[in-house]
Amino acid sequence: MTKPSVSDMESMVESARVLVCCGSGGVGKTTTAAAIAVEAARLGRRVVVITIDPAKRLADALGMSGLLGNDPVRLDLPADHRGELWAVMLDAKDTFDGLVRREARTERQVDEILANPFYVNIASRLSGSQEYMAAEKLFELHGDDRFDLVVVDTPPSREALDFLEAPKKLTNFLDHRVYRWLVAPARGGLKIVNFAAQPILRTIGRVIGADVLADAVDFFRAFEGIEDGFRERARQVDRLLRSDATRYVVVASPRSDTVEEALYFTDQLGRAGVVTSGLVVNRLQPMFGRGSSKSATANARRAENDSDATLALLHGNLARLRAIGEAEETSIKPLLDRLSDVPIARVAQRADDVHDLVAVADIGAAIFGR
Amino acid sequence: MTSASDRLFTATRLVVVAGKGGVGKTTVTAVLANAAADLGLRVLVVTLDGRPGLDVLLGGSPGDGASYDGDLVKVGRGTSGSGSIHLRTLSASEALQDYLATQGLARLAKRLVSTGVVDVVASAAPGIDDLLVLGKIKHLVGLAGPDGPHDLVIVDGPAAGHALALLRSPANIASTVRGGPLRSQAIEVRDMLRDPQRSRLVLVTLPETTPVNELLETMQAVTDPNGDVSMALGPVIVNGVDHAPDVEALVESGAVPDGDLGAAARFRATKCAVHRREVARLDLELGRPVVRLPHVARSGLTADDIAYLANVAASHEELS
Repeated sequence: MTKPSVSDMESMVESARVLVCCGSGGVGKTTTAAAIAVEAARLGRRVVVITIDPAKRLADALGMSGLLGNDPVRLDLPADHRGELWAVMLDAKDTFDGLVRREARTERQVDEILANPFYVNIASRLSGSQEYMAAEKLFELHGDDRFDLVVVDTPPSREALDFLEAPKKLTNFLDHRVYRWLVAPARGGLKIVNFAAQPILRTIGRVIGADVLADAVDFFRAFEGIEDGFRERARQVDRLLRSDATRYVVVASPRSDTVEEALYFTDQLGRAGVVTSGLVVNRLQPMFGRGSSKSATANARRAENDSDATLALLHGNLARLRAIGEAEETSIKPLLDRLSDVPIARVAQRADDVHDLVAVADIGAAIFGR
Repeated sequence: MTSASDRLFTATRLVVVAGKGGVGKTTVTAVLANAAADLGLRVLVVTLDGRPGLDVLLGGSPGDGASYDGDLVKVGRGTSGSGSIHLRTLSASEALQDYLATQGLARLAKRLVSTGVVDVVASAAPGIDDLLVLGKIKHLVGLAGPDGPHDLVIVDGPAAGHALALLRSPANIASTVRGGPLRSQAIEVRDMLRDPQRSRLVLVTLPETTPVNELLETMQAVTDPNGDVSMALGPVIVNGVDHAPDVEALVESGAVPDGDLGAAARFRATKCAVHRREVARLDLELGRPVVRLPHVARSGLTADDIAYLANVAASHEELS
């Protein structure tokens, strides 16, 4: 197998219609998504990037602060960028409301669903609903003629599948036995759900409180008739997420725990039948020359013997930084081995806590080998 | 002068360790457990995501098949030899089963979990799984004391932003569920978290601008007396702090050559300056010194590294 060059990453970014950045928290995922989007715009693509809760500094750096919401906003780009860059900051609840509005049959149905406390819980706090809405937004923007590439920063999660499987999650929920128990009496023409007839519901009622259960029943009733629309939509989103148009880039940092999580992500993606198309390793220790920490330590000792304290200090310092770099290489090796046939971008960290715009440019340069 | 009430390990029964992904939260959990055991305390470490390797960090030997169900990892610590560390994991489904069992529904519990009804219950009242986990922790905290099986419970909080969701769950449930046993549970757990004699929150960060900004935001959210968490803070822990005054002085003096040696020295000096600046900013914002843990240049820390870091931590007044 030949080692792919960084230009493979460029052709991947040039050909993708959707690009999903996944990885655990704290690895620079949002910055990486922004960097890929900026570079794609430089190549002439009309890009929209979906960000999820960017750090304020990054939002400031990209000129996104205060502007962003659930509707795409066009950002300023340097003159040599031939394409366009748009950004959206995901509002899961708002996206969910939009989905309900689109699928509901009547205004009254919309009002009933949106006002239901159970719905509010599902839309804003149910685990997985943020992932689901990121996927929904992705699908929506993919179908928008203004854009030819959608870059997605996924919500922080240990499970890559949370995102991939999110569209299915709600439909599974609607297909659930409990749901059918709740709705069946209504379909049979009965006006009241008979809690007492269902020991399991009685149990749930005892645990979570009868009023919560009553809200749930109302929600499912209000939802009746539009599940098919939801299901079909989820199928379409799922198809897009698993199609060749969608590429997955794993983002990692050189710590053994984040590498472990990146490996786990890669395995999960593989199991879900999608391939990892690229790897970005952020925040690597620069190595300062080709030697090892051992050789630097030997040099430090020699300088000490020569009573050159300054030189000993300099070599000792170099030895320490190289030892960090070597430890990082040990940490990331399993990941590099696993993804040996995909393009890999290595991004060195800077000593100064640079402005995030510089970080964005650094990652872009590393990915595109500039 | 540090009064008794400022000494984390003896002032409280529960320490929750929280921080964003990648800041070394699990490392800090292991460090705190070691520091407390070295004071002769019997520590129970609770992990919520069952992340492998915590037993090794705590000093257990790799591959001895830690089941995380309350295993003894370490004994005979501290000058009196009474210090010990036990480790256990807690999952939401286990907590729910236990909860249902206490409600006299043990037989149904298994079925509820196996048929996935739990997912629907969790959807009906988001945070219910978090609350039940906290309920279980409250039970363990209730056992803590001279006559109990342990003196102190240290929780390695969930990854990323989930820590806030976890700590908010009692208030959320208390406001959405209007009656029943779950509501009482939520109120009891909320009261435990708000009682500084029972619970303290330890926040972990790295000495860089964005993580420090995020820590300050989190701190404001969790300590707000009118907020939905309102927990008392233990010391803030800054992980991975580099400190090389000799290298910095050399760079300052201009006696640094060109080439790799000089570039490496300038890199290190710049980094140390950033770390010092961010630590100072935190000290100022908090009005008391943070705990600084030095950066260890190793891939995958060992139990020895943790023991070393625990020693460093123990020199801080609040952890002595």
